[in-house]
Amino acid sequence: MIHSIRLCFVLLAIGVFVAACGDDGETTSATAASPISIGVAAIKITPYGQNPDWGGAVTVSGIWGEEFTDDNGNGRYDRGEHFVDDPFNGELDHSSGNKYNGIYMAGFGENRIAKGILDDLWARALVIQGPHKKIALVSVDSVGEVKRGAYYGFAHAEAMVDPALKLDAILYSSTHDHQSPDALGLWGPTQFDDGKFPRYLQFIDKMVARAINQAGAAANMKTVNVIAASSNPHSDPTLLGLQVRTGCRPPWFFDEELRALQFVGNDGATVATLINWATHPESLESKNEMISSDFPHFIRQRVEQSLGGTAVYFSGDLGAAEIVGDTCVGNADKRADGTNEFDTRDTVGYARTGQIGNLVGDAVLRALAKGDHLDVADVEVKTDSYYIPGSNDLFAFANQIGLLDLDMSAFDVSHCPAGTALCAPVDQHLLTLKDRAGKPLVQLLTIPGEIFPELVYGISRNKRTDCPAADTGAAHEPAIADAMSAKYKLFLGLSPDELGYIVPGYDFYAPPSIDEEATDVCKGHAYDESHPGRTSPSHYHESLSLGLNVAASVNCHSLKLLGKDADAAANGACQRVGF
Amino acid sequence: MPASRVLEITPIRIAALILTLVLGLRPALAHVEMVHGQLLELCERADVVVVAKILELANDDTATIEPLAILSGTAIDRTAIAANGNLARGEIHVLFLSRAAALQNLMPRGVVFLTDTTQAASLRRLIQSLRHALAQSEAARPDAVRAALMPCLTSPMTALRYDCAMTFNRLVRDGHGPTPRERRELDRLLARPDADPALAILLR
Repeated sequence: MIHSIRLCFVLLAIGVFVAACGDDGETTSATAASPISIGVAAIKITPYGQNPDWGGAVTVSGIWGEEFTDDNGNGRYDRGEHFVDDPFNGELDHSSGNKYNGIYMAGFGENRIAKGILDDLWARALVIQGPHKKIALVSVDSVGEVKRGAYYGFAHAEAMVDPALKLDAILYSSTHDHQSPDALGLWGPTQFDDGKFPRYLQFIDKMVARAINQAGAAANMKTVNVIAASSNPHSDPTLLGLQVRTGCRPPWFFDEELRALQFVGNDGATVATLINWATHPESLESKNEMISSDFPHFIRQRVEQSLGGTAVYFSGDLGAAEIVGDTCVGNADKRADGTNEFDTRDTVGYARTGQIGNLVGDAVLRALAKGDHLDVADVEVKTDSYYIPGSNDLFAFANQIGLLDLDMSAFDVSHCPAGTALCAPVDQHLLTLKDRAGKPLVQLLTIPGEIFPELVYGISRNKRTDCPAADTGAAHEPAIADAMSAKYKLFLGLSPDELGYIVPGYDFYAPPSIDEEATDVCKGHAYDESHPGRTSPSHYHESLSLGLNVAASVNCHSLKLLGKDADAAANGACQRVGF
Repeated sequence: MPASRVLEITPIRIAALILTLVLGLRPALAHVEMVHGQLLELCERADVVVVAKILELANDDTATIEPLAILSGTAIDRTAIAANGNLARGEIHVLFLSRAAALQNLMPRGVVFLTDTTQAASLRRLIQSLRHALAQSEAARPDAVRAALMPCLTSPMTALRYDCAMTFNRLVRDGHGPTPRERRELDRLLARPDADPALAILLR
């Protein structure tokens, strides 16, 4: 009897094994339980209205900020109006004491105080767990958090993450939303006044930690299968003509790929969708005075309404890549109908932003409907930490006069060559989803700023060709994408820091001073016969770049993470930065 | 406010409207606007430069100011100006005003020179020496402007000091470097224990 039972178990076990094997002996995803689980959370960080976690004041408009008397009735604080100082801000940052602390919006000039909201801002976290590793990915609707601020930043959030989650790595990223509060200090009431709101930035840190803790909690983790998809204007013409280069800066090259990972539970319900696109979210432009997460709001909303679950949007390699209608107006590529209704300033506003977001959201849905069902067996993460010596006087000046409020114990100049004004600590991560043979299916690389897409896809193939005389002669940085073997390559920009633009060396013209952009010999030249309005502008991006060597440092360390150390060591740009 | 007050068309409201229209026609602002030394352009464009207290700000962006000291141009009495969004009630500012339609503040958004009445004499010297320098021949102008800016590098007015430093540095970059005497003065200034370290960055 006992023997019979044992025989039954053996036969049953063989049966299960046979059922779980395909013709080639590999286990198929149809029968094997996925070893991957996901948790996701979305926490509002909108500085508006009542929120039990907000300990500060709320102004009459509903926007958070110190209470004030609106003498001129314009719905916002103006310097000189009486306000009630919240001493907590001064405790966090002494220069914020006895000055008005409220929501100055990020970018497009100083003193743009928020008067209301159009939609919410979020801290969204996605925790992915494999057999060996557990990693959190965080996206914040912010112009650019830094990791190591003096009293704020992702390192402060990380200190509040539950150690019981046993996370192996946390990958932070900002969407670069210019309709969110100033997180960098650059857009206060005047050009030399800090625009950050210390109590609010600390609130963000708490909500980031909460998002991670909620997403990674055991009860929230669900076994999932992974669907990956990508799209571009060639495969999906609805994406045509949505990207332009800042001021038409050549080359006319973009990361055109729209990428998505859909995580589907055993019950068939979507748990989360990760979306990755490489365009500045600033469709609402300079005249807007309402908080919004810009077009990512509509992309997420569209995807969530259709698939369910929580959508998490990450900006990728968006350096010099802007949304149509932002700059280079009138010179964008045509859309499928031969015109481009977005290539104008006339329609800038929330309706247009919704149109663009919905277009991209629909493109995500179409791509996922035809996506690859991945047989993910393992999750791996690698981390590289290093320092980049900054040579940008504007950043040094902004830090010196107290706009940036960096943690100078972390920005320790002893890690950089003598004379370095700003020595930036950098963390880079490579997250890989692998199949059972260990082959990478998805590679996700973090980039600590706004990298030009030609640095990702290769300078030699994608450099500007309009002006050989402008080539600085600097060695080309190694292409990142060439070193990635997975079919699906994702990039998390502004992760974990916003270190500014990452510009290739062959076209890097250092600003002559903090108040002047460099020019090259082809400034003003038209470079595309079919688009005569596309002319070569001054070198705006370099004025907001940590320096020439950022690109080489980031690309060479990226290759190291990708296991291509020898290629990096042989590269001239890597040698220049002592890699 | 009575309806008649709202609808009242005054020269200052016309000026504010014109200013709004002109600013509205400017190209889109960059995501991150660069800081620039503004002083020379302001001196060139202004009809009147005053130290003034801001008495009232209306929600149509007009301000009532009380002039405390005339630094350049003809005297003005308490008056309303197009504020250009930079002014704050109760504060004392250096204002560069144009008489284009009515008086309007020329300071670009974000540029504010806060001061107090004790600075009036040194400010008057600065503005007058800059205007004198700007009136020089093209060949003599850069050196004269640079010399006029030297005292401003130690101004207690932070924003003005940085503006002067940026303007000074622009002249140096354009090939109009300091004289040996000015160089020694600069070295002494930057070596002082109480020197502003940010100034050294601007003058690099």
